[in-house]
Amino acid sequence: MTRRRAHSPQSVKVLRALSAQPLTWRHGYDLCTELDLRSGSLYPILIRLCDRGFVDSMWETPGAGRPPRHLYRITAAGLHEAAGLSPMPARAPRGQVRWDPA
Amino acid sequence: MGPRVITRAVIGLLAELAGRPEWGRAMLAEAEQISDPRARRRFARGCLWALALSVPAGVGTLLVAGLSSLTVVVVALVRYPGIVSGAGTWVAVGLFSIVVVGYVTIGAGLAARLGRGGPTGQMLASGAVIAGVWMVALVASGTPAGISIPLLALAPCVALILGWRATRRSTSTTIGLRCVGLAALAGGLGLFLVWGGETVILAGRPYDPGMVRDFATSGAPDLATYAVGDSLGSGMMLLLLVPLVSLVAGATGAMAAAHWPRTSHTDA
Repeated sequence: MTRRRAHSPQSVKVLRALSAQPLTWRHGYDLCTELDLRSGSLYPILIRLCDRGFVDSMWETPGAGRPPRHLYRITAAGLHEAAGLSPMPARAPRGQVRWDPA
Repeated sequence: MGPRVITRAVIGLLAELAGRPEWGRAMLAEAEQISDPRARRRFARGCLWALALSVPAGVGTLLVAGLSSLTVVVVALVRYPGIVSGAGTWVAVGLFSIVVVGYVTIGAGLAARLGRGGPTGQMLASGAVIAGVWMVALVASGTPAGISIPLLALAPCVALILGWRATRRSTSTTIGLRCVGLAALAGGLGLFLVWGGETVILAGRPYDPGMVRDFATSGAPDLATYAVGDSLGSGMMLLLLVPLVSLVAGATGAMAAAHWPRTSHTDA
């Protein structure tokens, strides 16, 4: 029996971002800027998610004078995986103390 | 050659070594779209880091051995500038660099084909054994004990047995040949690293009478420079010779194993 590895918080961010727009193909750099992730963190996550079948990748059609870019989109298995993730914990804005009335 | 070209080349090489060439191309294409030079540099640095960490341990070992071998030669050239006797020296250094890069690239390709979890680690260890036997035989050749010939004969025997075992265990001649190739390249790099490293550290010692005699007519500025240059030249020849001999012996073992009939056990 194989054990499933838990997703890192960054992987969860990527899965959530891709599952928010499941039909849209996304560029790597756009994901970096949107999720505030460095490329050194994003690409290993994308590689792992692609290897596990949660993310699909393809090359865009070549444009004039620019090399074609890689595009990423969540798969059905990825959507299922994202749906099974625990809900995003609500975070109080920096410097603001949350008050939970008893 | 600007830093951008070097970064592109390193990303391409690391992606190949990591067995992820398509991802390397994807990162390069993405970096090309970033107009802000600072953001592009930061993006490229992250990609380099990600790929460097993706390189399998076996390939990383080969890469370190290759880079260390190149470093040994650079250190020798800096410490003993008198080694450079003309354009021929630079041609030799250029060819040496091409051979080292070729060994690392081919070795990485073989390791990738053996797959993650394959016998890459065992083959690198076998390469170390091949290098060790050669080193002992070469050191012994300088002593009057007369044991260097049997030891030199033992070196290809190690590769032959390796080719035989790898083919029998995997039941595939192709895998056996890949294993032999990887061990042979690792052996060559390992031997050069030890040989060259020792040469630079000990300034080419010990100086035998023949070397002292030849130095007188060499035109080298001092004996250490002559000895280091001479020894590194021998090391470069060994870098070609050891993998070649090991490959021929190992391939012979692999072919023999493929054609040798297997004993089958049947239940009574």
